[in-house]
Amino acid sequence: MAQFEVDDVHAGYDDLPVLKGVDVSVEAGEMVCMIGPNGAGKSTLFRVIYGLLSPTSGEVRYRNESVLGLSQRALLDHGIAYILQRDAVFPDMTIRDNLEMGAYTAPDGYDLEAQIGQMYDLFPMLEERADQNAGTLSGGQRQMLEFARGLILDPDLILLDEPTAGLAPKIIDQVFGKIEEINETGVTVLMIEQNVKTGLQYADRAYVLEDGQTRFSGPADNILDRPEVRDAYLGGGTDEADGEGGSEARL
Amino acid sequence: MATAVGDRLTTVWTGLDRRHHLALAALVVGVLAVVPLVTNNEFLMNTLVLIFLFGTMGHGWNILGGYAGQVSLGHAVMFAAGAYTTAILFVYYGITPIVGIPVGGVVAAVVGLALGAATFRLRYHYFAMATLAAALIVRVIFFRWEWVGGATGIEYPFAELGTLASLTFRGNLPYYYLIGGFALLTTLFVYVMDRSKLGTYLKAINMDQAAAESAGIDAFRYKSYAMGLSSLITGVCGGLYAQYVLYIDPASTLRLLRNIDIIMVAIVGGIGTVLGPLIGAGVFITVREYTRTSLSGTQTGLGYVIFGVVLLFISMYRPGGILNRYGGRWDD
Repeated sequence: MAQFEVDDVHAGYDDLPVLKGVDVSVEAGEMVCMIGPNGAGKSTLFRVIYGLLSPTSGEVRYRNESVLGLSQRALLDHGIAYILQRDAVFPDMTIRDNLEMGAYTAPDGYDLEAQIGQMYDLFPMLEERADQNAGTLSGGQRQMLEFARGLILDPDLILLDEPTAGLAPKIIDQVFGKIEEINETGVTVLMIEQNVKTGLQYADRAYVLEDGQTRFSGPADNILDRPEVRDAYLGGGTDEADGEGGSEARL
Repeated sequence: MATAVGDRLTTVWTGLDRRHHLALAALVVGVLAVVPLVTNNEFLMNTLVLIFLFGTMGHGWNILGGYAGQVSLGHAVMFAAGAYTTAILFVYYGITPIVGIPVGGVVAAVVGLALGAATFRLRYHYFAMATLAAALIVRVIFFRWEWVGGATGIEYPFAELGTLASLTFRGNLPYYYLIGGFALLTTLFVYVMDRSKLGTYLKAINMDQAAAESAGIDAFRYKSYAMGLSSLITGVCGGLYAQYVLYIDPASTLRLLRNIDIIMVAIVGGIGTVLGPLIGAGVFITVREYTRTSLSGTQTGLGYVIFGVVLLFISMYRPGGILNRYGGRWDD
């Protein structure tokens, strides 16, 4: 049984339908990447999952239980963390305080010090700068802080909204390396990624979202080789997009 | 120079620990407590009473505007709610302001929460504009509402003044301690709040509401707490103001500049800081009272001109206020 499921979700804004039947199914411990051209509905899907937008129909289930329309706090209580796309640290708080904010909804008996210690093990840079204000960190470091803040409650599933958006190419590999490390500790990862090639390199499985529908899914490493995916995703011109350089330029 | 002084103040304050804060505060409070024993200069006493009153209003505004980051341009509504409630209960129903002032604070808090419920979905300048619109609407209503005295307002009956039950006094001295006491109480409250979980969550919402929400913080709820506390303090100030001037009308309690005065003291002193509103009120009221009395008659508006220049310099050289929470970095 899948850990997390999106079942035939339709959603949109006013009269504009954006999602027209999205199905996603993620197994526990998987790392799944959602790709698709701009406007395909990736961010809208995450808004629905995270309770920021009500779908017109469909269902979102976590461990076979509906989590549709739950507050962000309730989702955290279920073990689902959401890491925002843009730079979202608290710049005038220290790194330690930022981490503590992540534990705002911690249940009774939660060991904050132990969890912070674990985050420092995973991200040693954060320990070195624990008393520094988060505003002094670079873009990549802030992303690490956000991961740590999202992970501090020990979630079972994290939703990553374009984790490498706006980062320098050199940093992108580091960030994915960390995501992989997080995934290896048993945390399920569902992410949207614009850096398609890199994202697919690290993910186990991928979904291609096009025009508000999930068109394909399959193992991440060969999904771009499927002609119908390339067709849909690259907007035709399969022949020209054959070579490495060609497809990268288009992505 | 102002920058250097402000930096110095900020450094000195943040460099001290809690024990030194309290010792320093006790010293200032001690000095202020004996001032009336040394002098009975009317001008000085009146200026200090007004500094206490405006500093406390600044505290009230600062909880919502400075800590939670919700810039209200309509706090005169809560000020008037407190002032009118106190005056109506006393003048119409004979209920002592000892009861009336707290009731006024509660009424102001209810009004504030209703205003918040209607406007908290709006962010940034949209929220500010909505609160300003509310202030303008309430002002028009009070000008026309006969039951609350319309444009002429409510006057305290002279015959009943001077008794303890009326909480009105001849001379400034009792007001000095009454309003000063409330200022002290509010300052202590903000000092504790600044370091509390509530203070941290409000600052987090201010810095990045979406990030705070993704950590599970219910922004609407905490903004409502801030609005409730802010309105309560502002409403009590309104009640104290009514007791002090013994006469309220829409022109004085609800005028447009009242909204701005309240914000000004917090901004000048240092938005989102514990002592900022008091320091801002010190600068603002001193300039205003001095120019008002020494340049009386034709140049009545000059105080605002001078204060405008002060404000201009502060916004140019010290945009975070005299005490700067952000250590010079404000535009982020």
